[in-house]
Amino acid sequence: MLPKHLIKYFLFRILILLATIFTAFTITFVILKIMPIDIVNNIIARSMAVTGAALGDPEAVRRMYEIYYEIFGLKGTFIEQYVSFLNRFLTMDFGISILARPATVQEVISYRLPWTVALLVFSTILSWVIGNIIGAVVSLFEGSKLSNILQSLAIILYPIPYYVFALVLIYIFGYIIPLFSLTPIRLPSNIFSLEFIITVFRAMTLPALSIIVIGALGWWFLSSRAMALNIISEDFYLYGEIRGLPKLHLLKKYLLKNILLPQITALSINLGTIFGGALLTEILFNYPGLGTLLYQAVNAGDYPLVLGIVSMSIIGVAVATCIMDLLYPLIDPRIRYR
Amino acid sequence: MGVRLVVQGLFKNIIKTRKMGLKFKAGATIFFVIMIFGLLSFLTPHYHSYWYHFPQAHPPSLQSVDFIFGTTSNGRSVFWSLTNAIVNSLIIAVVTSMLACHIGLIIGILSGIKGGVIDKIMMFLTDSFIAIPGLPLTIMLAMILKPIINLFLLGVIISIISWPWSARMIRAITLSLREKDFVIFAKFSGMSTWKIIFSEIFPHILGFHATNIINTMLGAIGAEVGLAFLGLSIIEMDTLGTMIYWIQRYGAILQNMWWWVVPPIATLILLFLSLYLVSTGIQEFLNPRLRRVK
Amino acid sequence: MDNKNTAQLLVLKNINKVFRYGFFGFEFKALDKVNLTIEHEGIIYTIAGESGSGKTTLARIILGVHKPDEGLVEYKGKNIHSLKSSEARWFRREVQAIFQDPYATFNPMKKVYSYLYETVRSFLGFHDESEINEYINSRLLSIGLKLDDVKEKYPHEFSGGELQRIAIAKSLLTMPKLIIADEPVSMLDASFRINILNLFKDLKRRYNISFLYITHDLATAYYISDFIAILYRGTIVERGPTEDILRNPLHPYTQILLDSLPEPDPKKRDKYMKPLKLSEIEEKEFTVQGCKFSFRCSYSNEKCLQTRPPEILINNRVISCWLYHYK
Ligand SMILES: Nc1ncnc2c1ncn2[C@@H]1O[C@H](COP(=O)(O)OP(=O)(O)O)[C@@H](O)[C@H]1O
Ligand SMILES: [Mg+2]
Repeated sequence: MLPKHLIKYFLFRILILLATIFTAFTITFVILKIMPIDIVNNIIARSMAVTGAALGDPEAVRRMYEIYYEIFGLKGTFIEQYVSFLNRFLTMDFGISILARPATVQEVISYRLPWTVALLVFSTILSWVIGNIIGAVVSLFEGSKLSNILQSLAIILYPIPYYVFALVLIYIFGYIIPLFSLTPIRLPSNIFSLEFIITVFRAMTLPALSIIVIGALGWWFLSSRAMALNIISEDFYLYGEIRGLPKLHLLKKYLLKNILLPQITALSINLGTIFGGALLTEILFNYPGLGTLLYQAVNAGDYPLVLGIVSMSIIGVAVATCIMDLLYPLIDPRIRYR
Repeated sequence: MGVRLVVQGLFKNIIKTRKMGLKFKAGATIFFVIMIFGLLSFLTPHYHSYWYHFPQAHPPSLQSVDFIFGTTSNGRSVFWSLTNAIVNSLIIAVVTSMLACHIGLIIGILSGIKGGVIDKIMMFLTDSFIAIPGLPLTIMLAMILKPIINLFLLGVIISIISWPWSARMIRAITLSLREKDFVIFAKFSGMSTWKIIFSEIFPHILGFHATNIINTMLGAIGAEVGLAFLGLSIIEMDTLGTMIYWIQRYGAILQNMWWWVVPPIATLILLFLSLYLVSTGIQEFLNPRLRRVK
Repeated sequence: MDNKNTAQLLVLKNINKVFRYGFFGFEFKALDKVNLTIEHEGIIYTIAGESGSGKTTLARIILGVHKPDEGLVEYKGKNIHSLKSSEARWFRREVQAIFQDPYATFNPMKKVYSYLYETVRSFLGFHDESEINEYINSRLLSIGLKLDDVKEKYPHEFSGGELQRIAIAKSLLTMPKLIIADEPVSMLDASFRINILNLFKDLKRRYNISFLYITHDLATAYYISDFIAILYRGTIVERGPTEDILRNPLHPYTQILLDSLPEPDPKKRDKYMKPLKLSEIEEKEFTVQGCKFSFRCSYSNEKCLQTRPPEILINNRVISCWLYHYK
């Protein structure tokens, strides 16, 4: 059974989650309200240009307009505007996607979401683990040639966004070493076939690689190494070394133990940035996730879909961060103590 | 009085830059070279604004300056595009960092000094902004503002997601400074709150502020490229982002038009590297123990 | 405001201070139920404890920099954490502070004189330049400094001891009743230390000023103070007249401190305590229910671990230890 203070912590964190989502949407509402531009007319002009008369059904057109008027707060009193806006964003009910009509925004998003989640979970965990371990191990060999090389590499990689590095990867793998196809994926219908797995694997490899290389050898490596060096300069580590503990023991019990906890916090703080970078990386590789969908939606002037993805991102990142924070006290002994 | 001290402090720091480390020097040199290259854009010939003025997809040749880096698939000189792109991307970066860092500075200091309810409200707002994933929000705004987009407005849009981090950091620094002995001593010497902010607290924040401005520039350049991927930058202008947008649009990578592909990507990577080196250089100089990356 | 003259000079009642790290993260009590009273003017009261025991935190709470999570700080009967702005000025005039490192308290870019000038102008309401100079000069002379030697100089042009003297002179300008001195001599050369300590004694005698003298050094405490409180992990384990406590320590921690006095290196002092892994103890000591010293104490039993010892009055002193319960 969970101790009382942990339950209190969980409830409090979930309350924070709700408050965060609520405030984030409120901020979005306010920002959209103060836009110095006639949003709805612009949108309608664009949608008409894209879809032409193809939308056909006048009832559908009328409903679409209604949704726009609601979303951008042009209908009813201020309070009504705010409430209907919140309602749309919380339920992600933005009507029919222009791009994928007659599918609704929710349907399109839920079809693409698993791809993005798979890519993110896979590459984020891998880069976090690899980067932190390399950082800690290399700190034991500070001053060696390998350490210097890795450090210089990290300094170059660290400030590069995933999606710029992805361009470099495309150039290398797409053209110079044409291993991976960069054309859109066509999935075999049988999701249990070997072919399916291979296709998914090939689709995922390059985007994941760009996230892992930058994440692991840039961010996580540098921060883990810096933390490890700090620990190594402390007395308790020195005593351990003098007592002649084997390096592997020092690494496990002294370094990794003290590095991984703060790095979990760092991960949860940076989740939003990682997510954004991954979306853009998808586009470059035609990976069939939310990022590529966003690209198509932007190009098609599909505002309902774009808004749906924005709302999905806000809720998704907030929930993911919350889950990480909820797991944290199960790992951190200090919180358990109280 | 306060202003004089701040200027003195800045001046002292600038003089001391000669003692800066290798990282700073390397970064500043690379940045300087890129800048000089960008400044060549003031010599841009008028015909650079036309498409198909030059033969399409022409590899580099030394026949004239226009062809040094070859031409694009829409018949424009890569050389002139690049020089203009550097300047325009830097303008966006400077607009963003000036806005975001100074909003962050003011909110952070006020929050840190005033404390109480003002602090709570401001930090709730800041945290909520931090909780919004920046990129999707920026994309939405850029899409809505597309009809009236320009360099300045793009900077404003990117600032919206950049200022909260600055505010948080500045507040944390202010809070720790507020407890420092020299601030308590000044308070018990009868100095007013404003005088303490200007002469005791502000000079200590300047160092962080400088690195923050540089880091925000770095972030802004990256964000512009990200928006450009989606066609949401200023497509009719040369920026590092839009250059990549057209490269993508014309599939230049797959056609192996390396003369078009390599310059903007290499410039971007060098720009990121140089700004990062300068900012860590300053950081390490200000706090030699701080050999870490956040 | 002088109708409160009958009130005690400084009273700390049940002060608790918790520091929190991170959003939800770790928290620990830097001060735990601290009680302390300086009855009147003309007393030197020492707070002694190892580094990290919460001495500076206590000083900052008295100066109003930190707010205690629980408890009260009363100066002449007034709660100093809820002063109106005019009262706050009065408080800062009557209570002054001196810190450990004088080079870190004076702004290196300002002339030292500007602090003296500002203090007089702002607290005493003098406006005429020559009047201010004259006043400052007279105060400096009283502790053996000359205005001309000070006026045009920046902090780095003085030695640490000289600069600390100027800091003291600055605090004297407002005719304070209480001076909080947080390790004022620990960064100074030995030759300057005794000099500054003698100055404190002298000021107490001449102007009837009280001092809250904070130190980790029992020898200097014995030399100058009338009363002493021993701080351990945020709790006062024993307090009372200096003479009594240092000649006849009752609390096991105070006894160990005095036994180990000839051993200047705090790490080696550990040999006087129960051998235990240090990092392990610290984590436990922050979270222990009972006496914070129980992990290192050779007399400790189950009760010490479970319940905080109450404050027990024995003759002139107050001691927190189960050993003296029911005696
Ligand atoms: N502003 C603060 N925030 C968090 N922890 C603090 C702060 N100030 C002091 N502490 C912690 O409180 C404890 C007591 O510190 P301090 O009062 O400075 O001790 P001392 O002056 O006796 O050396 C230390 O563990 C220190 O790390
Ligand atoms: Mg201290």
